[in-house]
Amino acid sequence: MDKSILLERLQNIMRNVFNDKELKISESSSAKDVEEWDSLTNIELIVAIEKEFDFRFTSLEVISLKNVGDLISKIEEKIS
Amino acid sequence: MNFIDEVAEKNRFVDIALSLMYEKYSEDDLIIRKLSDLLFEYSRFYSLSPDNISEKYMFFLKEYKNDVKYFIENDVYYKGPIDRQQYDIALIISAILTEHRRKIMKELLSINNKEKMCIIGVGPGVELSIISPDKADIYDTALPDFTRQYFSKKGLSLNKKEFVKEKIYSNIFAIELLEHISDLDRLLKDIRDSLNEEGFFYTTYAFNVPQRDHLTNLNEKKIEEIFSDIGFEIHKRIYIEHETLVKELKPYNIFYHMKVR
Repeated sequence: MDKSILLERLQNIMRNVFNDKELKISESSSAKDVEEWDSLTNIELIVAIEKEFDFRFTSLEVISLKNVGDLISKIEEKIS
Repeated sequence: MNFIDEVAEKNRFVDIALSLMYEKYSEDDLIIRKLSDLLFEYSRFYSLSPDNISEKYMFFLKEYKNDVKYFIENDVYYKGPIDRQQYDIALIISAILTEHRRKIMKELLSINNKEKMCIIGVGPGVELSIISPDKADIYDTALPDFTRQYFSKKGLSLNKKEFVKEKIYSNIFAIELLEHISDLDRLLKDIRDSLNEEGFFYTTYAFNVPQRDHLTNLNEKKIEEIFSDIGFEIHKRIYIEHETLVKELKPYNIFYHMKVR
């Protein structure tokens, strides 16, 4: 899947999870750039991504995800 | 297998949060084990399945997020009813799954002197499970039936009433309680008068934590002025930052070790 399409799908998921319809993300976006992205909503985000793409992260994968770019790479790896 | 694992099997959110804790600690971690056992006893007492527990926990989290939003928009805590079971379950599970509440539990575990102990405000028994006293007087104005039955079997004296000075103690605990109290002066004076000369008062205060049953949100300077005016001397302050709330709130707890001056 094209990276830009993945980014758009991820942005839609994040807008829902963080309840921010205007949220714009890039590959470098991380928790420090998004006010609502804390450890609680991070788990909600992970659950929402798993549902959307129909796979499961391992706990070590969750720990290793530091920004949107990491998320996209991991999603690409999981769905390929 | 801990009982919390059974809840995690039903709930992916809990599953991920728990597996992150297991990565840091272990499945045999004392705090996780003690609180998972408490959750099991609680579920058994009220005939709640892991599914029921999971639903009630998620419902509490959803409301809590709304309360946080309300606080950000209005600068006052939302006031509204609390479902006691949802609240009890959230208190137990969040002490397993969140670092800030775990740090409070860890501090409690480190207190070894268990002489002449009194514990005020115990809810479903999270702190009681961690401290595990052989003997203690317990006071809670809203003592849940579960706590009364389960811990009275362990030989503790449980009183569903307000704490007032009746005896003298070496250790008094009021953990995650003070923000729920409207008349702090009255309570703190009775605690002061119930401590022996070497006695310690262990307490916490939550700053910018918009739970709907938190009646006060004093700043650090104000709460410490109150302690000082009553006659307490702070011996130790442990800062505990919260990770699980909107960052702009900068929520935190302080765990205080105090003595009477």
